[in-house]
Amino acid sequence: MSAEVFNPNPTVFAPLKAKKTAHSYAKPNSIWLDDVDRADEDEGDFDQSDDPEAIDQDEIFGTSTGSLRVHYIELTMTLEQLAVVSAPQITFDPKYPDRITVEFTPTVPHCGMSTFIGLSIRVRLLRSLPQRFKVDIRVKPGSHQSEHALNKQLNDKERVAAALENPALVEVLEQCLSTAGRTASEEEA
Amino acid sequence: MRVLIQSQRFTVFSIIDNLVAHQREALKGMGDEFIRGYVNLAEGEKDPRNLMLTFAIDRVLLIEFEVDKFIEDFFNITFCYFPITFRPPPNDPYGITSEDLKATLRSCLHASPAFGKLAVPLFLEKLNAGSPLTKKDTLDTLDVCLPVYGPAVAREFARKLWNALKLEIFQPTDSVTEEKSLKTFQVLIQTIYSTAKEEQNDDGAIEGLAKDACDECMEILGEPEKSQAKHAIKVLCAFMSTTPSVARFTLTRAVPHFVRLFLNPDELPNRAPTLRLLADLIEAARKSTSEDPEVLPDEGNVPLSLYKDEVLGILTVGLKTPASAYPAIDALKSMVLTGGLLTDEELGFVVHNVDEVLQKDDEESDLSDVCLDLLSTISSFAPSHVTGNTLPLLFSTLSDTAPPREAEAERVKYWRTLASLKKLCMQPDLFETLVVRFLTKLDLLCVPTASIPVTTEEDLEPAAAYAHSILRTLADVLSMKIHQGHTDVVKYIDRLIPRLYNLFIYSALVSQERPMAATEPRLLVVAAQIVTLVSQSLSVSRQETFVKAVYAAYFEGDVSGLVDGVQKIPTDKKFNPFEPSASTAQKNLLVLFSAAVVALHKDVALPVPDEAAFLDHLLQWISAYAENALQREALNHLVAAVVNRHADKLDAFLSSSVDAFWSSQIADAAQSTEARRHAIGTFTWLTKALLVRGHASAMKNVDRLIELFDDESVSWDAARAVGRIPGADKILTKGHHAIIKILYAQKYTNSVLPRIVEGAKVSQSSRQNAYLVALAALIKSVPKSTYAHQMPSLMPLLLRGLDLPDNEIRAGVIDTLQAAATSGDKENDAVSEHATSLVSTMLKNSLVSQMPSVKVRVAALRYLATLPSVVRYDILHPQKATVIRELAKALDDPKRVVRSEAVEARTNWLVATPT
Amino acid sequence: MDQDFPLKILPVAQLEGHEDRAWHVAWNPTKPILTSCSADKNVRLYTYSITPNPDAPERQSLKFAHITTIPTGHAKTVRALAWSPSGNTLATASFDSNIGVWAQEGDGDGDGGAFNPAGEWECMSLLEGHETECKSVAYSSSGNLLASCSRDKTVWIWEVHPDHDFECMGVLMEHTQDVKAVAWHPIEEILASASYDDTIKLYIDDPQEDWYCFQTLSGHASTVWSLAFSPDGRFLASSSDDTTIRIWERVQEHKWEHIDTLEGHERSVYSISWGSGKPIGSDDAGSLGWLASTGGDGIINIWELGFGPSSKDPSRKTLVYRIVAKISNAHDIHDINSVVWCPRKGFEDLFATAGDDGVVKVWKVVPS
Repeated sequence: MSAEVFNPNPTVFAPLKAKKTAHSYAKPNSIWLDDVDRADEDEGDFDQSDDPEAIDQDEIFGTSTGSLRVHYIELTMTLEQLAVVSAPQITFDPKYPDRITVEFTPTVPHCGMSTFIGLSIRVRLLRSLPQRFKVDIRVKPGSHQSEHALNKQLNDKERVAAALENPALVEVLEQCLSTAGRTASEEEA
Repeated sequence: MRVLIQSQRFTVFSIIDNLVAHQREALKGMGDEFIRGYVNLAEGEKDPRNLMLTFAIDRVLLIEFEVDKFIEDFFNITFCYFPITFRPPPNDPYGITSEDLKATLRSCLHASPAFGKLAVPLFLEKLNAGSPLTKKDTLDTLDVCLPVYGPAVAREFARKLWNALKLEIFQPTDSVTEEKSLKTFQVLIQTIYSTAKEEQNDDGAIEGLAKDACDECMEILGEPEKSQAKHAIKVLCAFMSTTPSVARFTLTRAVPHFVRLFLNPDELPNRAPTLRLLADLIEAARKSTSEDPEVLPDEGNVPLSLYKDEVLGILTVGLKTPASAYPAIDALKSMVLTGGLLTDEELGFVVHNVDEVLQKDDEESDLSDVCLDLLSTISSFAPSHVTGNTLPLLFSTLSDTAPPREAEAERVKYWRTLASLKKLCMQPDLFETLVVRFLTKLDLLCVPTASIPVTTEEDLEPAAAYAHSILRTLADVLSMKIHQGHTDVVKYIDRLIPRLYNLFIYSALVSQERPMAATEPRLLVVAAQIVTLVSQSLSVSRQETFVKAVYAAYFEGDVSGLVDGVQKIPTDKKFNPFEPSASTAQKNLLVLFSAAVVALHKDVALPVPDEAAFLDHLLQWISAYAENALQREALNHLVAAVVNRHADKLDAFLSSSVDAFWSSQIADAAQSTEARRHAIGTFTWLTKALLVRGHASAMKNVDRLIELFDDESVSWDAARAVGRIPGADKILTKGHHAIIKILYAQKYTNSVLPRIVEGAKVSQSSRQNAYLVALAALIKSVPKSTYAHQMPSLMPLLLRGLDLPDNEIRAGVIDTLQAAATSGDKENDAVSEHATSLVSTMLKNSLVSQMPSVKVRVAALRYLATLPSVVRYDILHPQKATVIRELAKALDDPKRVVRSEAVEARTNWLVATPT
Repeated sequence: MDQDFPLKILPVAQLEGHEDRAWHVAWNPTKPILTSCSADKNVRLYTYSITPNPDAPERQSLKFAHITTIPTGHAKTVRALAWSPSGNTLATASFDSNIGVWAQEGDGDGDGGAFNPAGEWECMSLLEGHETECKSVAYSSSGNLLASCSRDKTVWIWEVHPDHDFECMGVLMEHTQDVKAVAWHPIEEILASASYDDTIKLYIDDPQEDWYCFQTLSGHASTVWSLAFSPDGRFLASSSDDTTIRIWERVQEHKWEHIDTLEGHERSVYSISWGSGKPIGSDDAGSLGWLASTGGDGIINIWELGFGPSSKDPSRKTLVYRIVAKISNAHDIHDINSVVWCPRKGFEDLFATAGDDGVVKVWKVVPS
């Protein structure tokens, strides 16, 4: 976004390691160790049951916000590494399960990248969440000096729509988003 | 010179080049006159062909001639070309590349130390202002020049060079430039300190750039959790491979610093990043010492030795918290691998501490993976600590009885332990222990104590599942050992295999009276893998003895040569699995018979009087007496293996017996459809065995199968068989000593594919569909290269295949289309040509409302995700809005795996724009 | 639950065709034309006709048909539309910072020649001046003035001259943030503007001086998205991101006061429209008409407003209001960006909406 250095030496956080569950050894509800040789004969790795799997915090975090990258000066880090976003900061409205609030924490209270970070989260969610979801994006209370202005801006759909028609901004956004897909997760695997 | 055309100038330089080569002394005798004249000629040359010559001449003159007073002239006629930006014209007939010019020029630039004072400022200028490409070229050039220019020049420009390099290291634009900058910095330090005793003061401490740079980094490393620390540690790591004194100095500064930081209570939250930095440094130190593994440094002569107690101390503390345990283990691994650093006793200490982490790690994280990796590293050269300490610990957590069905936590616990043992027990000593302990455990699990009365309600499945996991672990470790060429596998033909046969034959015989866990088919399948794994490692003669014992048991009921174990095979019951009236449990044991035969060398003769009769008997047995898929598959494999090895001696069998089998079991519509399907399966294996060894009768069999395409009841089965025959399998493999001719799949495809394409075009619809099924199966089983060139004509057929009412076929077709699309070859024209119908078909297949199969939805979405990168945007544009809208629905798919593919696909379409 | 209301909202037409979010709809005030605009940069025109039902006149059916699409040539989203009172000219406000003025050839100010809306619509004039996205545009009741507003915080007033010539009469730089909407008083030349700075400003022309702001209305807790004057001009309604609608009363010639706040939405109220409606019951003396409101919650509320005796103190007159009809998920799961009553006589119960699904819907309010 800007050559101005907002936080030239941010603290870097290690991503949380995923836990292994019984299902990493066996198919659900089986007492038999998952047999490699048998797995590729039938339907492969896919769980063919009809049980729907609801969209939850971890999924939104994993496919959407966690892998977003920002370019801090010359450094490229994911929002997860900078602890800007985390799965518990994604919450569902208890009354309306289709309404979500995504909270993020700027690395410093004067972070000038915050609007951009919020916008990239917004765009990523627009692309990856079913349209039935209505998303509010907020900075963590007390984490930014322009908290109110930021929140207002990020949730003004007209401003967001106009921003996405700004080619220069979109170019920077795409850089940030381009590594958010499958390639990024493979890189880190 | 300027007035001459290029070819004339080229002649001039060629003459000089010749003279320099052959009349060097005479030219030297000319003194300054020659040099001055040459410089004059070379000045201003621009043509790359001529420059290749002048650079070569320059280098000789610089090295061999008296050129001291002309050094500035030479500087001017060489450095003016740096950096080379020449790009050869397309179809350049002279074939001079930019790399050629770069390399030749570079050889001039470091031809004389006298260039140093003139050259370094120029390099600095290029570093500070240059494009990324220039920067990289400059860094590479500095690497070769600095050592020539020498320590004095290096010292003079040390500060300026460091400032320039620092920028690239601490604020890297790309990782290549960053690495090259670190390398150049290393060269700089090496150059300065290679000879220089004067850079060290009396007590051996380092002065100058190394010290200053080290100080700067240490300052940054005061905040180990910040991102700059990652760059600072890279600089210190680079120091490790400069000179021993600089490396030692750096360790003296950095290691105690990290130890202090770690122990400082205020820095408690930063322990993990502190250990991460320390681990990086120790690893760099290790790499610098272990270049020659034969020469071990003396005990105590390893630079890190001074600090090893403190470091081991904080690392063992670090092990106790999950976040810092990862870097602690990395650091320990580097220490363990540093030759001459740790004593045997200290290794034991490390193992002990890591064992504790392993035991405590109930978090189910992958921490135990890194622990096991460290332990297996240690076991590779000091197995005693692991066998004595770790293994007993792990075995003690494996109970002797199976946890009941509902005790999932218990089950996950033994799965974890087995997974740990699997990772750990590759090393021969450890594996031996593993086999002994597992065999005991299997007996305990599978053989009920005689005192327990027979109850019909007893739930044997948990015990079987537990035994299965144990066998699976054994098979996996064996497979990895074979993969790595371990020779100790052979001895398990005596120590492991007879015990397995004993257990399974005993269980099958006893099961007539009481239920036995080891009659469970899943156990047999894994046991069969173990038998084959060991058998394939044997020599021809040992295989012969083994197979004789197997035949004696299976055909004569004489198990004495095959089994060994605590449980005595009951003598009152006959082991005769080939007897038509034998129990299912006995017949299932044919799996273990087949397993012994499928990996035989071709020189091993079967201990039967007549192989053709034997095979004929097997074919009849499969049709008449096989009770289930397990038995059928076992015998199919057996027939395939034997035919593959001995087809040259089986002409009569291959004609008359196979003919008879075909007409009675397959072609005869009076047989039940199910029986015919099974027979087609056997026929497929038989044909496969012939095909891979390049036997002519394979294609005759295929012709027969194609004839069946008209037979409504089995046409799809025949079609699938045609497709599957050339597919890779796990039985007819090189590892099993099968006879395999190269390119058999290619030849098969060349011959069959045109017939399929033709057939799909002309025939009526049911037959047409059979051809499509054959096509789908074929492209799934052969390498892409065998049909890639045919994609344009296959594309319309594949698209039709997507309408077949079979989700497996659809998924297979989409996978094929996917593979074709991503190959980036000219087949993409075919994709573009059919893009519109591909898009609408894939959309239909990606929505849960129209496609119930998760597998198909995922495949279709993956394909849609690929399209924007392989098809021109203007072709896709008319459908973009529809795709975005439809894929929005897929974002709400009930299955997570589908949603994640939908996100990817939709994003790719959203960002697709005209280029 | 929709059954609890005295009126219900019936779907009349579902008009698909935009390839992206539909932002706004506008009814032609004199002819049977409905227009919509979208992020796809197109304006779509629909015509409608009544098929009379002689047996039951109240059950006449309305047919909508797409007649043409104007590919506006705007480089970005077309955010808003406005018909001139004559119904001959259409103005478009775009994120490309321009205002387009569209009409049909030979259809100048007079009504000469056969009217053929399916023919070609030409851009007669392009009003440049705003620095960033234009968000709203509006014609005064006389048709002599055009107002536009933008993210550049300004409101521009243009005088409409013959031959589609426009002269800028003033640039009002009163707001401290984006101006989201402009609306003219239905009778007088009073202009209102709503802004991201949470306020509403009211302007008049000083004959001696220029246009100026005579009052700022504060009270909303967040962005004010939409404005609507009551048909009689005595009241002004405003809707906001704070999920409320405020009603302001003209208490003196140049003084407006907040008299009530309507709460009936869960998310931003993006659009309101105030029409005369077809009030229930015979006594419509105190009726102020119907207010339609909609927004990010996908709900459409129809409020009946009146000025009558206060329930607390019947001797005093006050604003009385109630929701008379309501529909949820009117555009399925999508936000609704715009709601507009049909201004033509006889169609007072008809309104149109535009949603994020790119669809325009027409609705009719009928007794339950």
